[in-house]
Amino acid sequence: MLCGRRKRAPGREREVAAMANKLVAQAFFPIVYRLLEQAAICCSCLRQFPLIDAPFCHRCGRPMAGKREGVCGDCQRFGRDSLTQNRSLFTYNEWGKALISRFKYRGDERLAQLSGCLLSVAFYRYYADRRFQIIANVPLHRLRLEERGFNQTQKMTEILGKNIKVPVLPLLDRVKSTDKLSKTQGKAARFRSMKSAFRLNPEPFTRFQGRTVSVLLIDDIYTTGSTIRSCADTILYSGVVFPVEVCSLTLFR
Amino acid sequence: MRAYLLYVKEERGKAQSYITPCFEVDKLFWQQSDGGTLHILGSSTSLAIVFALREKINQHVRSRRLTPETLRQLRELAHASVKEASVLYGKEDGQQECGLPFQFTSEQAEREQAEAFAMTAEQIRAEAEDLRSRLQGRSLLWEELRYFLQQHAVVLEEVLPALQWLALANKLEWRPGICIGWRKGWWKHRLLLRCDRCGSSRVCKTECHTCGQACAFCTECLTMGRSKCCTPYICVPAQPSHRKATTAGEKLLRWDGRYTPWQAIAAERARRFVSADDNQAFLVWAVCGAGKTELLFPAMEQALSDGGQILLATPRKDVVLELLPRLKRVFPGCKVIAVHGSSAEKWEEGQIVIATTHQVLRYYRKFPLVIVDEVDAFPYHRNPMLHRAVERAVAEGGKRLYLSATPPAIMQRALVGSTNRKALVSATHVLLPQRYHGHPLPVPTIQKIPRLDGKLRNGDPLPLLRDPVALSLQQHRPIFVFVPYIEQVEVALAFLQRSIPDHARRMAGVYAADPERERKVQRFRRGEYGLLVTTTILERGVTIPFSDVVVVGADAPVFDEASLVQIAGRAGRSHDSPDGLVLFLCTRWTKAQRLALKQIRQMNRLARQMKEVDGYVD
Ligand SMILES: [Zn+2]
Ligand SMILES: [Zn+2]
Ligand SMILES: [Zn+2]
Ligand SMILES: [Zn+2]
Repeated sequence: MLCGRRKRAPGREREVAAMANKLVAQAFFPIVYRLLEQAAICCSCLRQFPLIDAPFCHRCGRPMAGKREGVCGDCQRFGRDSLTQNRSLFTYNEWGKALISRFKYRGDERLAQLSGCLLSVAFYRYYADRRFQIIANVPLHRLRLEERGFNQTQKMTEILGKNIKVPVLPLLDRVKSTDKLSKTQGKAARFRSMKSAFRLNPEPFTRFQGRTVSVLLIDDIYTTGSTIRSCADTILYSGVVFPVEVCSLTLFR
Repeated sequence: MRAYLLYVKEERGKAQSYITPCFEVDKLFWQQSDGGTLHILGSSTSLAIVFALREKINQHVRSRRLTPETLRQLRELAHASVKEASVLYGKEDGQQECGLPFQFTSEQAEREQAEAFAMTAEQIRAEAEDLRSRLQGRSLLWEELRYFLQQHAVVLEEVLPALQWLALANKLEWRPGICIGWRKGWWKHRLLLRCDRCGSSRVCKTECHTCGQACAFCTECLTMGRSKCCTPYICVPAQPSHRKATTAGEKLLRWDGRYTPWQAIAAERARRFVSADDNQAFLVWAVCGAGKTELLFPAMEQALSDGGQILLATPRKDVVLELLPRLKRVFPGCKVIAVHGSSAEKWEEGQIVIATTHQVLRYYRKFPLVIVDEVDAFPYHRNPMLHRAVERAVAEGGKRLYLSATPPAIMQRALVGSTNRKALVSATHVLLPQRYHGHPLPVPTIQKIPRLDGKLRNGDPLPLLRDPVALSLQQHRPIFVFVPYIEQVEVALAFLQRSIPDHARRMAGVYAADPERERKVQRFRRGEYGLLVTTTILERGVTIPFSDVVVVGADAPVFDEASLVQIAGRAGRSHDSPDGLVLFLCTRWTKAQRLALKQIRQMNRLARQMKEVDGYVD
């Protein structure tokens, strides 16, 4: 559907199995196999998945080809971090750009199904052994949402939530309508513009009184990490009294 | 969120309902014209819902006195209908449940709209006239309209009163992008969602944050922006007084080419159709390679000297780009513009407008003459969107001239009459069964090969495919190999390269999304490649008219009668090789293949008869 090829083609099962094998450990193979099998994706796209493979930074999930395992330079400089860790499934290459531009900018909401499915695959690849109490997606500003009509991240997060049976809750509001992220140049500028862009909605936490709450934050693309970190900051430092831990997962980076 | 108010106007015992995004303007307008009392029924952010309710209410309200009781009934009817729509919306195709229903409120409806409003009727009217002169002949979605006005330094939100004023004066139509309708069946009721722009009912339901309720968008015309239930689609008919005839006797056409006798007849027929008033549609049925563009010149000159604008619509962008310089050359005194997705002239005006299908959707009741060129439209032939777009783009009382190599049955019945015995001319059509060089169309050879797909994959020997292809390559005739699906491009290419190793390096495979596409097609044109394996959905730049053609898998459903005729028509177009190889390989015979063969033979028979009755004049 994305590239115009037919989904059903001879030998697809084999390709799907090979990819599922590459993605996850044996225990989660059946789930991931079924997810990929049902996804609207052809053999050729499946073969070209721009997967991020080990070694990658333990903290932010950046691929570190040729280096030894550990934490990348940026993360070491960053020091203490509100975000426990980030993981991303794919590098943001031409294929990813085609997917995002059709889904997000052209507004083809039918791609929510595929994106949500890939996001679930990413979950099983990186976070299958973790327990999360809440999933939250990076929100859009109200005006932007009204203009666009939908939030692509929310759409795919809902599908993830359904697949892994964890509630998707509206933890955050976007209060600052930041100018288009692609336009603001430079990392420092982006971090500044994202500061206090979000507001916490503490209501969902009340049902987990006292226990440690693990939150999984979802976004479509991890670029500099400023958006995700700003969300994590907001969750951690907005006067929530009980222990909270925030991890994030994105489709691309 | 913009809400649309539904109200009934009562005046001298007659009642009718109206929709408005700014009620104050309506109050002012009716005060200015005929007065009457306005009763508010309710409001919704979904234009489609309000639109559907207006139809319902209007059916109900006609010739009925409005009492407080009937008004209460009308509100009840509205609420019941919205509820029914919500239930039907949720029920259909079960797997996709939508939390949000449709919403329509009667309370607070007026207060929502009571914005500060300080304009006099004269101010609005002046603004409205100005707006109309800019928008006339266009049909635009809200966001396109915003962009269009931005070019003229106008902010859309500020001219909302003027837009509504034009709508009340019947000079503008304000429609929802997706229309909602109820279809009553004996078994179950259904909700109909249909795109008002392109006419498709391939819509995708969605919970929409623009209108905050159940919504849907069209997947068919998505590349032109999202047509939704809550998106206004603004259509402004052109002012009919726009024509002014040029000074008589002025020659607009500069062309010194020659027609064959039969081309001359056809061209004259088409010209007469344009000048006379009796018919609205005319079909030029010309086989591929009959030389059709020249046929249009007299008809176009006629229309231009009558003072009208001409729209030439074609499904393919490369045809647009190819026609532009030719028409500029032969009509040197006229402004000719090309309108396609990436053209800079998209929003300009011209005397001759050459546009792709999608762009035709943006015109409304504008052109006195619309020419639809579908002769070489393959693979975009028989596109229902094009015909709908054309119906809209033609001016009130205007004319449509169709050029086709494979007219659909409906058009044949309407304009040619009986489909079995075809007349060569009538008041509404002319048939050109002969190619310009006088040779017959090459008749396809159809070969049945059991398990064709598997044999290609396994690389089994297939002399029926290998030998004719090898011959074409040896004789240096460019050859197209069509396959029905993208993934077969690689398979067929690998097979051919393995079975004809001498020429393996002169073969290439290409498909629509191929990043190397342009380069490969260029090399094929230059003759560096002798063979190109391709799918039917190749978009542009791949009409190489003097080629041989092989279809591998001609029984696939993507190849219908029309596409097979058009594929066959690509072969043997030049004087020096009028025959050309046309080979269809399939695992079984299909109706499409049989009909295509029949049509090609019939055309050749007609051409022969025409030669025998030489100088066949009406
Ligand atoms: Zn694909
Ligand atoms: Zn890192
Ligand atoms: Zn449409
Ligand atoms: Zn909507």
